[in-house]
Amino acid sequence: MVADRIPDTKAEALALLAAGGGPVVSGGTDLMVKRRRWGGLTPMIPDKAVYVANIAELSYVKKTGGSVEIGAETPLAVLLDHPFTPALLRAAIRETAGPGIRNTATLAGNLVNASPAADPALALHCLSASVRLESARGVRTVALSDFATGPGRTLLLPDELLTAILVPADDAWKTMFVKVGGRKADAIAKVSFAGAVKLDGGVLTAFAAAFGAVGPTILRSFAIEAKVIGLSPADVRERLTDLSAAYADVIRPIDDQRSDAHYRKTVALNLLADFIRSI
Amino acid sequence: MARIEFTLNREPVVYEGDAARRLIDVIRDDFGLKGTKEGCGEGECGACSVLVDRAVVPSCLFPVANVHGRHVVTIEDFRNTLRYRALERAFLEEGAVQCGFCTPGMIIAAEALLSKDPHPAAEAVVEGLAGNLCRCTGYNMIVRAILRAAKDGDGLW
Repeated sequence: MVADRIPDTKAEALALLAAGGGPVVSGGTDLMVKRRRWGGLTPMIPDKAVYVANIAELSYVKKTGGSVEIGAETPLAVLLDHPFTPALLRAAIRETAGPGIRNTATLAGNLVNASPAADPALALHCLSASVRLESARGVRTVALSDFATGPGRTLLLPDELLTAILVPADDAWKTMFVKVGGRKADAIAKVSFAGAVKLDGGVLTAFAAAFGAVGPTILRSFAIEAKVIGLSPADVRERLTDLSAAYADVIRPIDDQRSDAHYRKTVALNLLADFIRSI
Repeated sequence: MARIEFTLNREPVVYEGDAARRLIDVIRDDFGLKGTKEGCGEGECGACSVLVDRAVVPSCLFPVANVHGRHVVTIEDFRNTLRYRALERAFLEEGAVQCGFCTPGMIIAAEALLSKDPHPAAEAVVEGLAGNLCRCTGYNMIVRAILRAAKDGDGLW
């Protein structure tokens, strides 16, 4: 451990956070821009920040039971090449940033940054992933659908560290990931969509649709999804107009520098239609 | 005040200062290595690319704390290699350098790409350079140069 702030182990990191250290800095690719100052001045990151990117025990991918467990500090580039990475997450990471940022950015950073436009987070939402939050007080697991409460805001407490992401295996799922951005690489989504469906005996046994950059947090409607379960693909296609109208009620984007509300809503519903037609 | 030990261009070095400083500022201002350029300062352009443990990273987004115990290579050291010579020759022959500001970052990204994939297809080169902007060449000459370096420098990677 160096100068009390660059721990080598998870236990050291949790002790630093318990003693009032923080915020946690992971790969830094979002934080170093957000806290940037001009003229060569040091970014506005407090002296008591805890730098966790080099904690080797938090960088791993393994299969446990029916799910894939990903160490929170695993760089995105490692996940892009790893055989256990769920297909939908891999598709999202391929569209995230460029090779340089993927070598240092992590899932933990992407999730705690809590941007509604985040790419890996969108795939993880769609796959009903959960996160493990650890502190010196104990461990808890939180569903991603509950984790982000607003842009940049999550349920993570100041003394907690996001240590792992748990993703139900998606082997049997048919998935789609589409990101609409201003540039192929290094762009933030204007609007994005992730869909996943499981078919058994000619009917949908699972259906998930997640929308990015159309609200304060990544959007999934479990109420609408429930209406589709048990139907055949043909039935779902027949109800596309109703489904689209139901989603139109809950998709409430804003105008900002990347796009406007009208475009976002139109494209989001078109992507949903594309996905439903592809089932 | 943090004390951070890392390897810079094959030499062990010690940095003492704020752990939140950007790696690019430490490289350029503390160690006087000006070959690494700052373009956008927010990870869009890749001009500040350096190698950390052989992987390309944008040094403008990299807190110096995160290089603790790791090996940083900048263009100043990479230029002493045969791989660099092959890339330099190919860049010159293909006209891949115009104003030159993006070139150190392009060369570092090319090294990272070729060390993972010594015989890339054109699409893989485009993907490998996706994080690097060039406002002069239109990229085609750079892509051709890297394909040529891979061919002429066969066996170096």
